[in-house]
Amino acid sequence: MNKIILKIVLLTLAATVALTSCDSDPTLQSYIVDSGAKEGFISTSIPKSIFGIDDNKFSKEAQKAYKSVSKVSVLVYPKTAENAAVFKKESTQLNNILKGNQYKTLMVHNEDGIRAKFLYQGDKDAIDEVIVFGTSDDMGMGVARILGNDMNLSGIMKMMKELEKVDIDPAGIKGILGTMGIDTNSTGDLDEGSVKAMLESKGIDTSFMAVTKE
Amino acid sequence: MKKLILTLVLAVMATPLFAQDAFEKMGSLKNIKETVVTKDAFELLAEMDMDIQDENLKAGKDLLDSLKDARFYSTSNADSAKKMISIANAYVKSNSLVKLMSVKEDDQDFAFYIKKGNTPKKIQALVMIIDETMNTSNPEAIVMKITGTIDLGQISKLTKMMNVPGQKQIEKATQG
Repeated sequence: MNKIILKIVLLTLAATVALTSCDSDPTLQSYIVDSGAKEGFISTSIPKSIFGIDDNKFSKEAQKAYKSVSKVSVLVYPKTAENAAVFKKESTQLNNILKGNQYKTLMVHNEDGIRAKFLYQGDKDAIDEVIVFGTSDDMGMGVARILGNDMNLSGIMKMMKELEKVDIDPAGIKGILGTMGIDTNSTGDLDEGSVKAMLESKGIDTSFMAVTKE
Repeated sequence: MKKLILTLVLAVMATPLFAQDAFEKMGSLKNIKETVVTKDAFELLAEMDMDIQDENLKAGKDLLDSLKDARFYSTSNADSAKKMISIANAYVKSNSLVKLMSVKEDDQDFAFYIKKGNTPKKIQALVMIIDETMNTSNPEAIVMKITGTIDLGQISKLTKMMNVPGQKQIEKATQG
């Protein structure tokens, strides 16, 4: 009797190991890269230069912080009448990825049907990426990664404060979205909401922007 | 005999589950605002805090290190407000929190509860409940829960930092 139990336990263990090693932890990066090709997903990479920020106007500390940020990578999946089931699967998958050990959740905020999660990866004084993940049952989901090298929070906060005084040029943003096929002149429907929400969380004024689905 | 043991085990297991479940239930109410700040966030803030020169703005690394997590819930929906208050009160009761102070004003009931820690000056949790459900024109409910190993004297500093409503009352309660 005991021998059989032992065998079963060992087999189960072996099976568990095999299964988990097959399904190796997809990282946020690989998820974003893979999803870029999936239908209904909009994926883009926003380089710093787009904001038209002249970092010479910054203080030394803010300049250092500005230099530490490399780019912002955004993935948006607007919800439509047709993709409800796929949307559920994808948002669950993304949620699970962000539960991984390498991602540290900083804050969660839910309001008006929108759930936003702020996370980071790296060390607290040398952050490699800051992640903002938002889902809305009405509009869809989006995730933005701010990538950089050894980003330091207080430096970034100082930079953001100084940014309020320095001008940001929106023409660059319009240009990039145009090359992606996102029309910035006509009005869109659901997608507009999610892209706007994503960009607004970066502090970018989107009142002039409108989005159509690709 | 086996049944008895099984029931006991399940009962014991169920209790801690209930404690956190209360706030998860609060989080799933409709038309509410929820904010959760984690220990990782406090650690990051502690890093930042070291660079701040202004003594008044400085929260103090000790204070930030003592925090585990902070949860804030609010609603202006009459139905959710009533539910929120009852969930909060049930939590206070089932976790044997002690009332530190309460203030009843016109349309508002303000109460502050703490859970004592292992040492006299430290508390494990503090819960603040602002019940304004009796205000028929503008019903509201605000619940806040902060856990950690918090120094009682530091609480008013903490609530000032978080810009929590009811600060005046809290300051009076924890320092008077």
